[in-house]
Amino acid sequence: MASITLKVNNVVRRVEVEDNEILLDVLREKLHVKSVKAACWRGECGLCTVMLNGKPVKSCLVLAVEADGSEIVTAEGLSGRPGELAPIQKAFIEHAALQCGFCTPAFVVVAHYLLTKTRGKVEREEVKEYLSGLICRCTGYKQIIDAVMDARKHYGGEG
Amino acid sequence: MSSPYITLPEFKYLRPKTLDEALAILDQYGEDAKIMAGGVALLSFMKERLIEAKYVVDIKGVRELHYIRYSEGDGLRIGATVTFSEIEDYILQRGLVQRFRALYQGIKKLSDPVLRNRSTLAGNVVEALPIVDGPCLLSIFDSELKIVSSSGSRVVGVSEFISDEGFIDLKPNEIVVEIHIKDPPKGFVSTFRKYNPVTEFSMVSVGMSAIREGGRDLRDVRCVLCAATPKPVRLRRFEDLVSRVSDLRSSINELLSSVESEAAGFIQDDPYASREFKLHIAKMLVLDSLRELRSL
Ligand SMILES: Cc1cc2nc3c(=O)[nH]c(=O)nc-3n(C[C@H](O)[C@H](O)[C@H](O)COP(=O)(O)OP(=O)(O)OC[C@H]3O[C@@H](n4cnc5c(N)ncnc54)[C@H](O)[C@@H]3O)c2cc1C
Ligand code: FES
Ligand code: FES
Repeated sequence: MASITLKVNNVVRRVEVEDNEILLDVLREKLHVKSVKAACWRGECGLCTVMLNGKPVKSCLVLAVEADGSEIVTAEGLSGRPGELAPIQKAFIEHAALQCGFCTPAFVVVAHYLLTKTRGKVEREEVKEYLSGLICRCTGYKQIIDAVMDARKHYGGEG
Repeated sequence: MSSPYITLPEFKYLRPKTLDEALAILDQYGEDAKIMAGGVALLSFMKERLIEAKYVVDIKGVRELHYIRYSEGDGLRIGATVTFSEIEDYILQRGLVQRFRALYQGIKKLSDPVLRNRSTLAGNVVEALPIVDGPCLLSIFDSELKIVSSSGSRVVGVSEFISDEGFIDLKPNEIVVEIHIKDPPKGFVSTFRKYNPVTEFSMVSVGMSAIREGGRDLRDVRCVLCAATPKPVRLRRFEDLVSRVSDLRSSINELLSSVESEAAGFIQDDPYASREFKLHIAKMLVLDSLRELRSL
């Protein structure tokens, strides 16, 4: 057992973990961050994606111990302000970019990163390419891409 | 805690801060220790119980392995813990896309952007399965690996690093510390194509490079066939032939049958596709690459 410290959505949390525990499991089962979804456990679906020290990573392929001292952001903390939504989350609602919603937390995290990094200056093809590691079984992706394209204006782009 | 998820077997996690410390751990534990860079391949295989480790040695804390630099004449030097995303960003920001075009194209098609934030080129080359892209991309250029153990260091060309049967030349106490892609000569052009209809992984890939001096003629053509072969294979007879033909249009059939006869020796049937199908794809990719290099 090791005791690790994670800053999750701006709150410092201390948790006991085994060396072989996966970050995904610890976030969901020990820290109860339930927006992070588990589906394939092997890097394929992307639904476990979280921001780890500023970059989106698939948390099913990260050890919890190696994240000691890291900062983690998930859909719950995307706007940086409790109870508020980030612009990309509002755009998903406006465009009905979800059906069951299982994939949505991962999509908004990755899209928010892309739009922030590029200051909203991305083309449709680049958005598609950047989201290609995430799987949605319901929407057919069109509404998702539309929402991201529309949200560009809130990140400095044209929208 | 009992987990409802697919779990990892038990191991001890070690995070050395220096290369010497990492090498000492490998000396002490030998085969029981496994290096982890991005962990994308290692943790997947450990979950499936295909790789065993009593000690997982995370080298991401070794700062001396985290660098990427380019200098004219020398080329690109990439430390072991540099991720694919970092290589991609560096090539773009330093204006090196044309110079290392095939590498850049290959990285853009490798798994997906989120996984590339973790996975490394060094880990990919050590994984060395026929279906991974790293060894193929490096074979399009003159590339070497720098390998270190507590008793010294050595430099190996990428084609010698992987045996004809697909085994790697790396002892349990050794670490790949650097990948060196030599600076291509003036007029160098390159391209990479990957046919992956089923998953991210390639069924057949072709990398091609050449020197172009004015006009559209190509010389020193290098053609590498990958994924369908146990390791990246140079199609030498095709390379010779294509450097000699003056009119591509009238020589197409001759070129393609040379690809077919040469590639046939390396390609087998597998559950996903027949040998004939893969040979057909290989020919199409070669043709496409050739057209592109002439028009670049
Ligand atoms: C969903 C999915 C899709 C993928 N798609 C692709 C794809 O399209 N193309 C492709 O090429 N690959 C693909 N991969 C494979 C994966 O991207 C690569 O294997 C990755 O580059 C491995 O890098 P890593 O840093 O994560 O290596 P790790 O998992 O950390 O290590 C891989 C192996 O190399 C050893 N190792 C690592 N670094 C060193 C070192 N410096 N010295 C000595 N040994 C070392 C480890 O012990 C381990 O055996 C995919 C994987 C997944 C899960
Ligand atoms: S659960 Fe991590 S990628 Fe599917
Ligand atoms: S909305 Fe159901 S999986 Fe995407």
